[in-house]
Amino acid sequence: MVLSKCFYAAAFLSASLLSVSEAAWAGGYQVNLQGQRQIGMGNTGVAFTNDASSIFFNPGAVARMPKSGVVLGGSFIFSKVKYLSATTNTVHETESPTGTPFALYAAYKINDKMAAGLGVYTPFGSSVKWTDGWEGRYALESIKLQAITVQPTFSYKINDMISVGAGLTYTFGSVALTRGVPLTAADGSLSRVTLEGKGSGIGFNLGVSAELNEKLSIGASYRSASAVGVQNGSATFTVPGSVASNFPNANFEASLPLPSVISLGAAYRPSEKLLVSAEVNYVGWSAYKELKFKYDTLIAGSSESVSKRNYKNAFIFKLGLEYAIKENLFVRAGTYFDQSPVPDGYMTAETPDSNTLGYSFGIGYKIGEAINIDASVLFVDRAKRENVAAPDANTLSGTFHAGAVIPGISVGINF
Amino acid sequence: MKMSFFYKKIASWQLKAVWVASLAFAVAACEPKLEAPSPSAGTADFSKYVAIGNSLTAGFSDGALYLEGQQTSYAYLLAQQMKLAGGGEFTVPFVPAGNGIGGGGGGKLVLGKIGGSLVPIPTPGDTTALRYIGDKGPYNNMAVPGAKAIHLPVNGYGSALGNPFFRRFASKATASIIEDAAAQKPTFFTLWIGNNDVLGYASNGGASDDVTPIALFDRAIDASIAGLKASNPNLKGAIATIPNILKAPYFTTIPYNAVDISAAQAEALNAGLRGAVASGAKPKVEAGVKAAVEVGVRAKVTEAVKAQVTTEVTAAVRADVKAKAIAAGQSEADAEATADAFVKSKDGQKTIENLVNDQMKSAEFKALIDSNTAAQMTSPEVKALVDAKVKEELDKLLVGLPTFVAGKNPFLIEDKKNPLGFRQAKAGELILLPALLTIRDPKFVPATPLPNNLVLSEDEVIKVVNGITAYNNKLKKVADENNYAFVDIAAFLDNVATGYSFNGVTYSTTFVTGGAFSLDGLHLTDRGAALITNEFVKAINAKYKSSLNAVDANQYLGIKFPQ
Repeated sequence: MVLSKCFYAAAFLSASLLSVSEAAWAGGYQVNLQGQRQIGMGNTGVAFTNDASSIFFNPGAVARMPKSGVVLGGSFIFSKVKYLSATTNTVHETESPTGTPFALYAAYKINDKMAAGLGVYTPFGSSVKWTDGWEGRYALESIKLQAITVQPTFSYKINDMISVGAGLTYTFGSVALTRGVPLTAADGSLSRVTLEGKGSGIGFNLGVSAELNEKLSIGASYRSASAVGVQNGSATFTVPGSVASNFPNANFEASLPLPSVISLGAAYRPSEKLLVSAEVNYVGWSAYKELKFKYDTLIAGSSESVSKRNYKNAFIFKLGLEYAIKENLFVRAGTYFDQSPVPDGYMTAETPDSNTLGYSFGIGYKIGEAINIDASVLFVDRAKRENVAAPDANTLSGTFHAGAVIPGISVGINF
Repeated sequence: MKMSFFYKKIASWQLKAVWVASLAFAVAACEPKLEAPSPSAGTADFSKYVAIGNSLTAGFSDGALYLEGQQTSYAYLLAQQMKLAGGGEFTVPFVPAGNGIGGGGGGKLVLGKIGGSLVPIPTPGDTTALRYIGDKGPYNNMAVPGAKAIHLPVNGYGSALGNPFFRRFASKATASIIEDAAAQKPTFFTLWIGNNDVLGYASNGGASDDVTPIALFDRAIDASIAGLKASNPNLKGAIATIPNILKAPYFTTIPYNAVDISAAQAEALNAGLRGAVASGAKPKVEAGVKAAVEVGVRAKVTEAVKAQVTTEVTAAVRADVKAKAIAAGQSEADAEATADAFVKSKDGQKTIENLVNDQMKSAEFKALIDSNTAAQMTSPEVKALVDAKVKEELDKLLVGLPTFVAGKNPFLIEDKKNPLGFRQAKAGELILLPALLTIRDPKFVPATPLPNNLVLSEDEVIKVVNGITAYNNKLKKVADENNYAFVDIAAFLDNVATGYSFNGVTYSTTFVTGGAFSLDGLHLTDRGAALITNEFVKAINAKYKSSLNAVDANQYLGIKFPQ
């Protein structure tokens, strides 16, 4: 992949500012923006210990924290998607609602060996709104996926070298989606459906962390798959009165899977000032087979609407650096390659996913021993990708190109 | 260290300013970039595009030629895309805004609600739509609703004896469509013709019009292409195939067995149908039986009369011969013998027979036979025989009568070849859309047979399909020989019939809700026309290396549903 203008701009921006700290925007609708320090380092985090954000990145490392602590952070996703229609050669784009994923972690060291904590974070989300009347409006006008995971966690240090941890994840979220219905009223007004629902799902997060020597630590974690099931969503149709009886407002069921993630990583300190971190994730996206809305009543003669997704499992490769300029000031940089889980033909207007390069930069500043301020900026450069719509995907043919700039900041307090 | 120095020197407000400016720059640089390529003509020249065709090319829709339909004909949409690639103006013989006019004089159909269900409702036609505007021509859209392939090269097709839809914009009464098209010296043409060469027949249930013989079709296509090429040796163009019109909603909306009734309704219908058949057929059957019985009775009566006459004649002949023999001097006994011998002889028998036959022919004996026969026919024995035979015949008829059952039943169809005068529809027979008016009528009784012109029988279906296949072979051959773009609309419609997805909208051949066909069930909606435009675009781009854009079919309105 050729480094784009986006990369140079990112490099320039960071060099001139040594900017803020960590977050990421990953394949599918997953959000990987759970720790500002980690974002700054290419979103690596399974292999080193830092603060309470290990609750997310590796529960096994929580017991290794020197002190109890609380971290609160958030990111701002400025994203845009453009679409060049394969048929009409017209370019359309999304309006850019700003996504604001956040993460809050609190970890308490019970004693030298044991720690307990709670994480509250945004595991996935998506906020896409295409301009009114765009070519794909019958596939999607807008979508807003929101979710929050609450993860109580316990971690235990077996010995000086190895520690393990486990957390239970309870995720609750909401989906709101509108798309056009291809019926026109006699006065020319268009029809649409709005699908709204809330649901929840549970899963777990396991981790093991090992400090092999003073310079090298490794870690592994497994976040289970879970699914956010919507039981009582509401489908609201705006259609011409004469056909309204065919489109009754209905309740629906739907399920959005959260993929499992296996992470393996290593962190190495060639010198006291430098930390190098490398990591690979294997994301179980094949759980996302279809997007199905099952109605409790017949809608235009059909009890469900099914759009195939057929996602494939995918890897993410990550690399990050942290350099201590001073004892209390750190600069960070990282990059990752996120393989798209979306097979050819199944790109959609809601997640126009493609292979992605992320470039990140960050700084960390310590105020005394107690307070950490971390900031990051992540540049997401998705490859331009052409989609020839698969017949069962209910999507569009054309070229999608998406990008995002995601600054974020967090404050941590250790006690 | 440089970096830390850098940090120290920048004041917080300056840092903010640089941060904002740099972020803005980075955001702009990371902005996804996609640019639309500009359309080009490739090796084609779209400066003078002329469209030749029938109602489908004219933009006829909802049963009428009306302005909005003309403005969204595939030819018009295609011309707009050509304009972006060096194409010229595309003039259309527009009708005035309003309901327009259809073949039967009515205006466009609109969807309305009658008795709770949505039905296409006719509007009054606008006869001013047929006013002559040929003096304001020529027109790039030369398509004429109702035109068959065989009409294209016919001079006088625009005369009072020809087609009113050509007459309104023909250059002169003696012109042919091809002549007026060629006179414009087109650089590019599209030809989509031949539907009406089978449609006239098919849409009337095979009861009128006929399928154009392939030889005539071939000759007309050859003459048309030759006429166009004569005007411009470098002519380029696209030829489209004829879809299987029998997949249009006009032919597929009403299943052959759409009589959906309850058990009670079925019982009532059966009783009614049997009663009607019995009372309707009885006089005819009775007359037939009586005639047959009378033949037998008359034969017997005649035989009896003849026997009596023969006895009398034989006695008379014998007496005559005997008298003559005595007169000739024979003894009484000899004369008796002579008379007996003559009566037994061939000559004698012949003489008797001739005499009997003469007598039987006489009016006197005929009257006797008639009166005897009539008397016999009224006798209780013969009456009983007639009644028994009538019952037997009627029972035979009723056994062959269809029985209605609860659920779905085939329609009854008029059939002159059937003794009942009708038959039951079979799977594979097509009930035509206009039958909707009949069967949606609350007064419709399913025991009433549908007229033959609302049904396409299996044989008629085969005739239509074979016709289309033969025409399409010819069209493909002509496109190949001349190296024109070949637009396989036949294949495309087959796709639509199984569901064709365009930008998240699935189009089908289902009536009204399928989105591609208008309220007449035969012609396209604006969305359907846009899909056809895209097929032309694809074929033209492939043949001429042009890069015309397709159109967003979904942005058109489709069928308009009342609020």
